[in-house]
Amino acid sequence: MKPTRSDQVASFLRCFAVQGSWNYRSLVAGGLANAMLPLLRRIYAGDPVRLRAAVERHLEPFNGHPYLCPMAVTALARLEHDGESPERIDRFRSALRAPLGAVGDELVWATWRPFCLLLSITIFWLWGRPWVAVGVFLLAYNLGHIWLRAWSFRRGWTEGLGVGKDLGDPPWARVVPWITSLNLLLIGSAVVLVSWLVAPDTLGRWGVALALAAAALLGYARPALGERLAAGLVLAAPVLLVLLGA
Amino acid sequence: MPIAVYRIDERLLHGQVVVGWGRRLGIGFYAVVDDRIARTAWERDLYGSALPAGVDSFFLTVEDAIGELPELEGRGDIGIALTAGTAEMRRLGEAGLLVGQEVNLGGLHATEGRERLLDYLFASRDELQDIRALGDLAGSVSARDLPGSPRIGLRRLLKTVERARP
Amino acid sequence: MSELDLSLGLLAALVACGAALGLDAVSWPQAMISRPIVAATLGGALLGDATSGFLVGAVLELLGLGHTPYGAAVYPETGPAGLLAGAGLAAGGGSGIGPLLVAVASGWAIGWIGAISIRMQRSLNERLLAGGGLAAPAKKLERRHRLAMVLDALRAGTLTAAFALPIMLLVKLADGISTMEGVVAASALLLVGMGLAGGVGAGVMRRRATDPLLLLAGGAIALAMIVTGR
Repeated sequence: MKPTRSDQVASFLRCFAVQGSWNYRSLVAGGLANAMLPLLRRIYAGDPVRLRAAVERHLEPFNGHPYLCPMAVTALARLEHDGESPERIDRFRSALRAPLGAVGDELVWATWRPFCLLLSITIFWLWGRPWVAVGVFLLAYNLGHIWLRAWSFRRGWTEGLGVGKDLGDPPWARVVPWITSLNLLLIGSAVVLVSWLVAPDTLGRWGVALALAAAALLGYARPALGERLAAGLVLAAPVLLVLLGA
Repeated sequence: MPIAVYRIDERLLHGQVVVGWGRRLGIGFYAVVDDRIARTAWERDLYGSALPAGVDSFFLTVEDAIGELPELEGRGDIGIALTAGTAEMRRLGEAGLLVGQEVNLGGLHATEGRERLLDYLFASRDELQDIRALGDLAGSVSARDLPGSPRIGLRRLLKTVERARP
Repeated sequence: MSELDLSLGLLAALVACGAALGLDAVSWPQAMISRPIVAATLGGALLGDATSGFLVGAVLELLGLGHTPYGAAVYPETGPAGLLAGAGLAAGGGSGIGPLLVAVASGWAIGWIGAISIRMQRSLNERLLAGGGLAAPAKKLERRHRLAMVLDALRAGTLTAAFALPIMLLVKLADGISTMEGVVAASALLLVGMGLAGGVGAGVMRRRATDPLLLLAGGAIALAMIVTGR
């Protein structure tokens, strides 16, 4: 039986908690199966044996970007609805982990989230109002966030096995390289602006801002070294301060 | 070294690899060595859709990879070679492709019959044998999920297994 | 040094916020209220100084650029950490680099302690979902899934409760070091600088030869903004 509108709404809302039972054995599978349940219950209405088999199938390890997991939820439900063989569903499920993780990580964690955060820092610099900056971040970020969840939920059911086409040429493909470049500009600027804001007048803010920007470029050239040094030094800070300042 | 890392990761092309490693190393191409995927068009399409524009992917059977990976070494950019399991990587090693190369254990997840080495690395007895063999066939073997994570050497990994056994 | 004024009501508000922020990061709904700039501004606002909170949040953001939740990667938990760093700086009431740095360092440290607690939570989730019978009846799966989320919120709330007071006292101590000049200020700045360097170095992409140039251009634009007073 085809899932109703209310089944779809229930499933979509559950997608927001897809990582709710994240664990090292099955990763997000618990959340995936939980989000699929309203759809599976309708698809296998009156057939508890096949419902149970389907839920068990989707409790097998799965991972993907949480905002694109709705695509897995509906694409897999579509395959169940269309009566595809369990073997084909399993293979599709395995292959789907790759683009759902990579495309989502690239788009959201590496591009959209830093962009909104860096934009927020710039806005704080320009207007000096923390809640305006935070508000712009939350609004801009979540417009993208919720749109992506809704898009992936819809496309998953429509395309089923063919979601690779959508993921290979997604609506954001042309915008991402621009945002990525913009992010580099914003990072360069944020490092200087934040350094300027935290630098004490006693040292001469010009020297400080330039020195910090140079340090950031050094970090760019040798990330592993920069990261290790940064972590060590920052954690040692309270001790250093007490020793030197007391 | 155009192929910077030979990675064993059953998820193959996913976020950690494409974004985590790809961005850090400036990866230009991925060579996925997997018999089944190389022969199935829709699976190739689905895995290929994981890559950003401008990054190339090659899906090769193990046999083809033995001939073609050395050719890919001649490209001007940096790449990562991936296998989903240890057996395929061992075959690459036995063909002499891994001499002086770094083999990275990036992700084998929990299934029946596998024991835990790390949060992201579980292995069966057969897989452990492959990993031991890779120690002789490759320049170095270590576990690391992301470039910024600690690198855990083969000796330490094997000690973990020995300690866990009664 | 002024008195540290932390009522039970305020502590309860911090713990409730910490729980909600901790839940947001991974479990539900991932609206990113758990990011340091949001969490630290909230923490600062609760203690009466949202601006200080935002600033410490901004430093933590840049510091953590390279720590992204790819797959099963371990990364600092930013919600309770940002909240407490922001609250700590606001409560400390200091304006110098010392309190800011201690707040950042505390946030960074709590972030990693949070990461350890998340790892424990994930192992517990493994047990919650282990064994058969989850699918029949499927209600059991739904119950266990919800329980995992409740435990995640409790975990984050407990973390916040445990560190709220120590962080505020620590920042307060740094505020006692009232004038910071010469070697001390330079050392403190070096820490922030290296932090930013590490974050930026690990966080940005390096696919094209023009990438470092864009980074430099961004820095130049910022300098121009400073010069022109914007």
